[in-house]
Amino acid sequence: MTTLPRLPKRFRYHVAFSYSSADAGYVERVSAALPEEIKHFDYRTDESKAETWGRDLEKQLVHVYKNAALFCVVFFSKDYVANKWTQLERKVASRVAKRKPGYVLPVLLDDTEVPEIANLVWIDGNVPPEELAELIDGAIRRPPPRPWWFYLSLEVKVVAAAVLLALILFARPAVNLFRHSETSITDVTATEQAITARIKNRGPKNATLVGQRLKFGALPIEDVELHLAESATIAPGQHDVKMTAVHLEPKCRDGRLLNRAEIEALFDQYTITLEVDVRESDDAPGQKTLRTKTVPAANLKMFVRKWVPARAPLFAPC
Amino acid sequence: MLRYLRLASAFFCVLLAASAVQAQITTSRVSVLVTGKRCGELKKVFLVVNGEDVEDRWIRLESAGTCRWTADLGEEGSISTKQSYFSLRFDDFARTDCHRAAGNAEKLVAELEFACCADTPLRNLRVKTELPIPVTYVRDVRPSPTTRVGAIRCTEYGVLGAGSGAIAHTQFASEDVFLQLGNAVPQPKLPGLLLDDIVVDDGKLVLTRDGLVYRLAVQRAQGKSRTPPTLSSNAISVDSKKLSALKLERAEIEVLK
Repeated sequence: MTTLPRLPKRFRYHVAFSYSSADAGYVERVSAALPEEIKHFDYRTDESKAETWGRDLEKQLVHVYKNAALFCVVFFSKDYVANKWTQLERKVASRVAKRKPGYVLPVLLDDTEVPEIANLVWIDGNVPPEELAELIDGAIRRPPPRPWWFYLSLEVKVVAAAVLLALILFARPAVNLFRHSETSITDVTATEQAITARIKNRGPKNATLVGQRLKFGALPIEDVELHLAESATIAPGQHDVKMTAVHLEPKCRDGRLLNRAEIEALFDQYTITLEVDVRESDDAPGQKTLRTKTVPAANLKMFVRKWVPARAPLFAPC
Repeated sequence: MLRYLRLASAFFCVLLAASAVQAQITTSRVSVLVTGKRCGELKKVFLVVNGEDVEDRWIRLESAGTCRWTADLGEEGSISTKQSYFSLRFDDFARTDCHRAAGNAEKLVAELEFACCADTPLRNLRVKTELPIPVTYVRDVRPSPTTRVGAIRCTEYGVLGAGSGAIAHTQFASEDVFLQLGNAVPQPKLPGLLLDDIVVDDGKLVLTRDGLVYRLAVQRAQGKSRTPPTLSSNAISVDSKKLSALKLERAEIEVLK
């Protein structure tokens, strides 16, 4: 005789019985004929009664027939089909059987028509209870079906594992070969000495900054090219890039050049845009992408104040 | 081969020099080099920035070695090397033409070079009006022919307080000085009384209102008022009416030194 397989941790019973109380006599005989080592759920046993006593019956039934047993033997009969509670058990068992074929072991006690077992092999209720118990015992002891890879040779398994490992290790870098960096400017701040652009590179490759400038829009200051204080290479991740200039040129307004104090008074009304030319990949050195970030002029006040001349010629040609 | 190398090195030097001149910076530090035989004699050197020719706006330079001078204009005095222009006043004996500075982007210093000094007469003028009226002056300064590089034509200006004041370091050989009577704010594009050909070295020139109208008419006729020569009677009437409205009786122009 095959040894009884050990119950998986999450199961409490080898088999659960679902039957109508009208068929209890037959089922009790089957139950009695089962070897003691087979744990089975039968709601009429004292043990089951003690367990479910005072609890929500519906929830308990759903729990047992859904989660607690490896198999469910359903004893179909006229009474079974008519009873409210057995219908609930039947519904739960059918749902589990869809995910786990072979879960429901049907036994037909009379000539009731049961559509859901039309395509299943069922056992006739004329079978003596002892014989049915043996059949149930056999079903429980039958080794579970093994997946197809169980039958592969060790060499094939090793090769397959190696291929899988190689795919995991090299697939991403291989895909990344064809992906560029992907940069964006997330924030722009300033001190007296430098503009700091927070640049995010979401791509797998380094990006290169190939040009950067401040555009002042309606503020009367000429647009200016900025110089990088550090490296122009932006590795993947988030980086603060410092940019400097040593001169900001006021523009003429109303026929004359504005000085620093006059320009400062306009800060709250305007915005300034940082433009950065980014080469997203070294594979195409000629191609660059323009990234911009517009911030209130007041954010860059310290920098602009430092590099706009305080004294402007009164008679500059405008 | 050697010739080509020399040519290439000369070209490289020119490129370097050009790039140094083209650097534009905002700075408050100025470094001045004065060339010429007399540069060692200079005791007091003043910097005039952007043509603001008012003595209390002059900046006294500090000696930084032989013929070298420096100044710190302070945070509130920072200038642009692209737009700003400068001239010097030396003690009481000379002035220079106007120059733009070369920006030294590494040291953040505006670098200037002037030649000292033109051998042409220098005059300090005193102007007085009765009744006291607002008077301004505009100086149209030409580059000195002896200057090698960097000189520009420029406009300097000043305001005389309460009807009297001085115009220092005039050098008529290299500048035109226009007196603008009745203007509180100097207007470089408007004509004025050209002082260059009416100032007398010995004594004081006193001009009545009619005398002023006459001098202005003569200068207009000679094309010295920044306009083509004209004998417009309308312009004479306008001058006469304007001076009457200002209640100007007379103007005195005296050479102090």
